[in-house]
Parts: sequence; structure tokens; C-alpha cells
Amino acid sequence: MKIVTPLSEELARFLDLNTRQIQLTTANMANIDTPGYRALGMDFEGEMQRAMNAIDSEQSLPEPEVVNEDGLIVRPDGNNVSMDREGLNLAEAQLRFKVGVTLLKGQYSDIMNAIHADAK
Amino acid sequence: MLPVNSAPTSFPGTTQGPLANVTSDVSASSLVASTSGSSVGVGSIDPGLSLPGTTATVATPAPFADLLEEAVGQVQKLEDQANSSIEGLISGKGVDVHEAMIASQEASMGFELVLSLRNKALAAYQQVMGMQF
Amino acid sequence: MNLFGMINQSGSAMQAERMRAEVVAANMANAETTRTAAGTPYRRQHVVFAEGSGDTSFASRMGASLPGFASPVLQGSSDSDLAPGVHIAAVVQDTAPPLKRYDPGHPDADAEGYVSYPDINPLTEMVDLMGATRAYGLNASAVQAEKSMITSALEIAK
Repeated sequence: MKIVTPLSEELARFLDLNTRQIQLTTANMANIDTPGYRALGMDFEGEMQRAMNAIDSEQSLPEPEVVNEDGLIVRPDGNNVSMDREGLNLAEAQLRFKVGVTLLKGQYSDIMNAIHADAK
Repeated sequence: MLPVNSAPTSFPGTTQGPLANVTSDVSASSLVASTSGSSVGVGSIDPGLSLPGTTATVATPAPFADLLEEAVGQVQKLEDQANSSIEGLISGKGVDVHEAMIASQEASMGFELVLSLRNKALAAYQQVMGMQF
Repeated sequence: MNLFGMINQSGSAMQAERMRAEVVAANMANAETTRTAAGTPYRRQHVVFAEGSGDTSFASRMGASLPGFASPVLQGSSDSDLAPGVHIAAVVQDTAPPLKRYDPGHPDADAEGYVSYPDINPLTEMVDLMGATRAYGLNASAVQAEKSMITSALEIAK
């Protein structure tokens, strides 16, 4: 007897990845004035795809990879964190998290409706 | 009373089910019937005995009870997982809020499922018991 | 490190930026101070940011050196790749020589009649202050985002 569906597993993983993304973004924001700090990030779509493949084939989920973001301008003090980029990433991850929560709640309410199908 | 070489206390393949109270007469005759391969000639064989060659236990098969027991075990596991992730959250060990929420929601849904299974089983039982013959 | 640990991290950044703004304010207030308590002209100060919590306790040192060691205090993080916050490592004084202006009538004039003024450019200080304010606001909005995520995560269980 399994109470979870593949979709709810994927949504749980979606929430995990968004939390991780917010962690990286807030770490970057905190270190915006630290000399020599390089911005961290992760490939969200790639990680989500890997997670969906792992869930389909019933494997264990891989740990998300944290990489140094490239393509950013390095300032004279060695710091390459861009305030605007981090602000956008923050807003995006936050909203995506909300979306994930709403979709997951929808899944759970479907399951509960099925359980209580002939309650009168 | 037919002569028997061994004194069987249990028919091969049986569990300690309803046959635990069977007298030695019946079990001896059934053993003879199985070894000689003859048809029912002894006349006192319990019709509830399983035929030789089958592997079914003589105890009343209860697939639904097994299913319910397994489901309860799974719900227990889900509850334990939920408890440990909530403990991880409140003790500051780094469990995320949404992980703890998902675990506790899954445990509660599993519990609702088992509860409604039990209610259905109970209703079916009561319906059968209420039948007039 | 979960969301509560991230709030600590953003909080440490806000604290560091505030210290930076205070140092800028001290610089601007003392732009014309020719005589400090030590008798010398005021020297411009600036802050040095560094990763980490600045906590020199044993638990945090262990947490920083061993990835996977979970310190009992909430600020320890088991991710070795995420810096657990930021702190001001030092407040250093500028080593640039002070500005000398010729003013023989000034009580602090030296033998040649020059008075030493601190080399503080108000424009530089204002830009620094603006940077500190923006970074402070950025981290404050990060705290808001983290709060909102925790709140929406609570909705999963209705």
C-alpha cells in the first residue's frame, strides 16, 4: 500500500530544490560585500529533470550540485555577486515554492477525496 | 481402527488452525488415505481437511486480514517517519519545514485510509452477522 | 541548514552592513577632526567583510572544519559549501597620510604652520553608505522571502 503518487514525490522534490535555490541565493546576498567571494548557484532545470528520471525509475534521488556561477562580472574587490540577479532569483524561487505547495495540496486533497469517496 | 505406523499429531501442511482439536482418529485415517492414495473409504474423514498435494493451509484463508495488518504496519512506519522529521525540525537539526509537513500529511492520509478500510470491514461484518437465515 | 538557519545568515549580513554604515557615519562626523583623544588627527576607518560567523567557540570551529558535524547551536551548518553568514573581521584605519592645509593660526598647527586633516572624501563616504543601505535592504527582503516560504510550507498540512 503506497500513499504517495509519483507526482507528489516530484512535487516534494520540487519544493526541496526551490529551498536549496533560496539557500544559495541568500548566501550570495549575505556575501555581497565580501572580498573575493564567488557567487554560487545550481542548474535548477537539470536537477529537476534528474529527479524526475530517478523517480520514474524508482531510484534514490541524487544530491543537487552546487556550482560557481559563471558569466558574472567580477568587481575590483574580487566579488562577483550581482544584487539585481540575486533579487530576481529570490523572487522567482519564492513564487515557485508557493506554486509547488498549492499543487501538492491539490494532490493531497485528491487522495483524501478518494479515501472518503462514499462517506455520506 | 486402522493400524498406523506413526502417530501423527498434525497432518502435513496444516497449521494450528481448526484442526488443533481434531481427534487422533480422524488424523490417522487421513494419513492412511494420503499414503495409499485410495479414495475416501474410511468414512470418517473430516471434509474440512485439505487434499494431499495442495499447499493451502487448513486454517481459514484470510487475505483481507493480512492486507489490513500490512497496511497498519505501513501506517506505523509513516507515523514514525513523521515523528522523527518533526523532531528533526524542532531540535534544529536542519530538517526543512516542508519536509516535516509532507511527512506528517502522508502519515495522516495513511491513517485515514486504514481507518476507512477498517470501517468498511466492520460494516461488511455487521451486515453478514445481521443476515437472517 | 534549513530555512531558520538561513534567517540567521541573512541576519548576520544585515548586522555587518549596519556596522559598515555606522563606520561611514563616524567617518563623516569626524571629517574635520584634527585632534582625537590620542592627540593625532582622525584617520579614516573602513570595515573588512569575511565569510563565516566570526564565532570563535569550539563548536563553531568544529562545525567549520568537519563537514557533517552538526553543532548543537542553530548557526552551525553541515554544508561545507555554504558560508554560514558573514561578519566584520576587522575595522581598520586608513594608512594614507593626512591632508595638510596651511593655517598657522590654528591651535593644532605644527612647526611649519600646517594643520593635518583626515583625508575623508564625502562623496566616497556617501557612495559607501548607499551601498551599505542597499545591501541591508536586500538582506531584509531575503528575510521576508524566507518567512513567506516557511508560512506557505505550513499550508501543506492545511
